[in-house]
Amino acid sequence: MIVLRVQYKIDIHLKPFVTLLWSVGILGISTSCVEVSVSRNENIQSEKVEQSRRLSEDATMEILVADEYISWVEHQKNGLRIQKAIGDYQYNVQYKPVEYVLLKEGHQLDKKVLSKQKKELEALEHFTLRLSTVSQKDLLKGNASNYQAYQEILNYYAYEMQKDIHLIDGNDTLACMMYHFERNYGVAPFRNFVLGFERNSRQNKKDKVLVIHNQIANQGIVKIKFHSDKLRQVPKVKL
Amino acid sequence: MKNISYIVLAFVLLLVAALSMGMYYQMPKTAYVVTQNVFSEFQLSKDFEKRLNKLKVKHYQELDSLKELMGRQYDQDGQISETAQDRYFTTEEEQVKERNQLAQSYNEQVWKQLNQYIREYGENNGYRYIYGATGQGGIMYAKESEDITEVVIDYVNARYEGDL
Repeated sequence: MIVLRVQYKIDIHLKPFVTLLWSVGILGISTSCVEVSVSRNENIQSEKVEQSRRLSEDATMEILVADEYISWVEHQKNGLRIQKAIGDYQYNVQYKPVEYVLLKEGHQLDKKVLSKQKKELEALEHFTLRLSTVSQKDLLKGNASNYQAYQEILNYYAYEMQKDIHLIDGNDTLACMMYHFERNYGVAPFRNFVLGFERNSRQNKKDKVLVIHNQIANQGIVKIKFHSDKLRQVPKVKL
Repeated sequence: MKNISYIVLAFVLLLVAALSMGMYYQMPKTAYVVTQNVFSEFQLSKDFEKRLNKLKVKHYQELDSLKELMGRQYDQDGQISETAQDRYFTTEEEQVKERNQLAQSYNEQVWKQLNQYIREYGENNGYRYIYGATGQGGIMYAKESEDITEVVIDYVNARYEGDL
């Protein structure tokens, strides 16, 4: 009888602890279940990444048709188009392989002319800088308080910004050789700048960094980096 | 009956545990950075500092030339010409003014980028506040574990260099 009472008392005192342990156990199991599902998700994610890597490798192996090639070059995930925002200014830079430039020009040329044109284009590294504002303010009029200020801004973008743009190609810093400001007279909320830098064959396998010090934006130096591994995986195109 | 109450107790405990875990992960994060360190270690600050030093050297060379010229210009009494002295001091004054204006403009530009990158860092990492300890009484005390200065320096430099 006494033994039974002692047993009962121990049971009474221990049961809450047992319950607590039990709940902690359940919590542990549920946490591990979550971990299992998280790790399963991670596996699925890594499989997807692997799959997209394989696809991207496939893209570099196969020869794409013109439209596919243009989409590939313009797709942000392939690393040839990079966007960077500082304050209200947005810098959107497209690296343009020679084939892309040819396709965008849209000429239907015979092979001889095409190869000649390709050779000419290969003298430069081509980029397009698209400058816009997050607030959708006009790039020229948005910051100008009067007509004179507007003219100064226009003059800067049309001619002077060229000296504030460089390309760091491996160990070399290259000046902007070709600079063209495309005027659109305010019909679009952005402005395009066509840029060209001397092609440096020695630095083909290095990262390329476009350096812009926009004096109107007054936000310091903006660097946009194109990683060498991304530049190397550009697929071939049927011209 | 007792068994049922234990089961209920277990579920309540489980619920409390789950809720406290949820609250822990939902808790707004706060941290601070030592602003002087972030500013001075930011690569753009260093780049601008180099430019300012170059300009300083150029200004000193100009002043040296003027000094030499001044040493050769005497008036009728054999004293150094006042015009030459005036030119020297005016040039020096203008140079200091130019450097100060440029330094101020550079500071503004650096802060514009730092504000952008720190805001991005806060948003991406779930911070509600990132305080700036300026050493002038902004934050009188903060736990060292809340100091994210080094991590932020790495982040802002990676963003500036285009690595992120």
